Amino acid sequence: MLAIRGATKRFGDRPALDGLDLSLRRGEVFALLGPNGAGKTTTVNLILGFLKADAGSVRVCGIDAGTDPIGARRHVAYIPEQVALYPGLSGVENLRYFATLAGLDLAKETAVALLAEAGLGREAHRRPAGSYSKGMRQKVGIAVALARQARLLLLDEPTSGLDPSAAADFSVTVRAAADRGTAILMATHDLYRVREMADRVGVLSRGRIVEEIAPRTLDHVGLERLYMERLAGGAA
Amino acid sequence: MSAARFPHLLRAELRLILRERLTWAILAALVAALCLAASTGAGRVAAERGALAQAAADGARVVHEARAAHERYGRPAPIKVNYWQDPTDAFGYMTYFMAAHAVKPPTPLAVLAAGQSDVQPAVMRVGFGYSTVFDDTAYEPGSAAKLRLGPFDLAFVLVYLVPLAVIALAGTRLSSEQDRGILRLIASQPIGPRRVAGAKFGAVALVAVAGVLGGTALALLVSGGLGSLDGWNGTLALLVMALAAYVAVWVAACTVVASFWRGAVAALAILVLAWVCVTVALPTALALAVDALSPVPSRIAAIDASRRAQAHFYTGAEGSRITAAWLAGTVPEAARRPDLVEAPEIKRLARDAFYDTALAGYRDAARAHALAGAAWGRRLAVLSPATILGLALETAAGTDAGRHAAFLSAGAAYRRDLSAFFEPRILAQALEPRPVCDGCPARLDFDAYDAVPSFAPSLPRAAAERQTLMALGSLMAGALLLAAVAHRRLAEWPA
Repeated sequence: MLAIRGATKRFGDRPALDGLDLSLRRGEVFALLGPNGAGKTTTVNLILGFLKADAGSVRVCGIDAGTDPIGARRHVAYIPEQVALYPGLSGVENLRYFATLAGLDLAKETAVALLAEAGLGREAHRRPAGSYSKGMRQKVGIAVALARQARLLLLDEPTSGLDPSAAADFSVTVRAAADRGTAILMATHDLYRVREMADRVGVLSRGRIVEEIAPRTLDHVGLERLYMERLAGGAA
Repeated sequence: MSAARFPHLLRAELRLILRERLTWAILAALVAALCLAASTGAGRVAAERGALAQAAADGARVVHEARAAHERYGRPAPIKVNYWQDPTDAFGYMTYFMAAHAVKPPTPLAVLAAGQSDVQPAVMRVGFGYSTVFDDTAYEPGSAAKLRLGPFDLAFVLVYLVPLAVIALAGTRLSSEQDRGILRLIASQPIGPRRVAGAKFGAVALVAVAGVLGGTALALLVSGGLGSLDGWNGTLALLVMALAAYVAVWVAACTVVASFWRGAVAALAILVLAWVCVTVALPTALALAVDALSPVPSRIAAIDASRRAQAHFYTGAEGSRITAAWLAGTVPEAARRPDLVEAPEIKRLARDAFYDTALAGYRDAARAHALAGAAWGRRLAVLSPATILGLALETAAGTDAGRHAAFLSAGAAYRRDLSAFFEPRILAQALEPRPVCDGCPARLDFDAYDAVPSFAPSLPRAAAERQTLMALGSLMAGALLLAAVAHRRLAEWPA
């Protein structure tokens, strides 16, 4: 689904990514852990084709995201940290709008079904999105991904700012998507959810993955300790 | 998954725009402004038509009264009628009664632009009972750009306010999505920025064009200012297209500014600055350039020359000498009639001829300036979308400086025609007075009222079509150029 080989990206003198290698299989949930400035957003931007790598390659379902970003994005759905929607449109209308951008002509009934599948309560479907909480907006984002049947889902800090109940709901939804075969790359700081959702965790420091862990082999405390040690090692 | 089809995108964007309350508020304000402006124009056109009708009625009344005077004075009476009270005398009629007018009738599209008409008269009394230095009685005409800030007419709304409405509708498209974070979700879809921008700005262009054209049509309908088009349909159709192109220019400008990816506040600031430059600063600079290229002749110097000529004529026996010389030059056989030099009508004709000669240079310079100013204005107008559209509207309305300059020249030529008509009759009567009945109180030497030349007004349809076509071409070129710049800049989404 995703193959990043030796991706390097510099902004002036500052390296954002330094020979990043990362691959993701169908139905796999990979969490990219790292402090601010570690290169998580740059990685996401490379996958979406918003940036081109200075060296190395980023391929989504075999398509080079650097040379054919639109082709690569056909297989990627992205849910940013803050899902922003058109506040005057309802959830259904927002979903249909974004589906149109993706080249889909979504019937109203289909949109309603997708929102329900993403976990957005039916009473909210026709309300203006301006009244939605962050969790509800994220569910619309999930519905967009479901509508597009994307093979790779990119999540940028998906649980930050969510209350525990909404975060738990979100975890369930993401796991369900993975079970349906969607590969999921999640950039996050949330060690608790990482342990709950991810199959693999990559600790990103200074543009490189310095450790790859199977999180379920550790408890929360162990995971946090390992993470801090690896960051300290990467910074050394 | 296939690429998004453009008509689908356009429909989605149209739905989005039409769901926004701000869109309807802007359109409502625009339509209200257009209606108010159209009523201003309609009022002005009605007043102008009223003045023309009044002038025609005055002319008819004078002829009617002169004919009545003929009947009355054709019978012996104990009274004596002086020449200044006598419409049956060629000189008396020409000087004190005739109500001849040079007229500049409103065009069928006159409701569109007040232009210079609020300070430049559409009717000029052409007569001989008084003397003026210039062809018209107005003061300095000034530039159309400065004058347009006065009348709240359709040209003002279309040229100045429509761009603001377009900026309000389109100025923050994409940049507000960027500010609110929606752009990230949009950009993550399998679609490039050019298609999204094309759909977003295409939709807003459709809404803005429909709003401007529909609003203008509604305003014209409500105000009732637009009369029978009578062959002006082509000009109107070209104007409609030019207006659409003007809107397209501003939408394209909004697209270029959106491609800077600087956010809504910066986009609005840049666009408002562009509006100030294009609609205020550039037209003012062009007006100054026109003044520099065609300097205004001094009216003070002309008035001074007029006073000098007057003083010269009335100094000692100078008036009699000038009259004698004029008479000898005009009617050689009058040399055997030295008494004619003191005849009031001969002295008046000689004096007017003397004044005309003394002031000819100043009048010619003023006419040349008016024509040159209008010509330079036409040439330079192409440099700003606002001036080229404004000029097209004024030309269609017949209120442009060029038409007025031509009108002044035509008015002066008309005065010469009238002079050429009356002068031989006055001279013939002076040389060989026509006998009248015994005891008749008046001269009864003139009754050719219907033969008095009339002014042939012109409607500048061809010029209007040409100017509107020029505006349409320039505006389309501008819109395409800006669209090309935007297309080039919108190759990639911002990271």
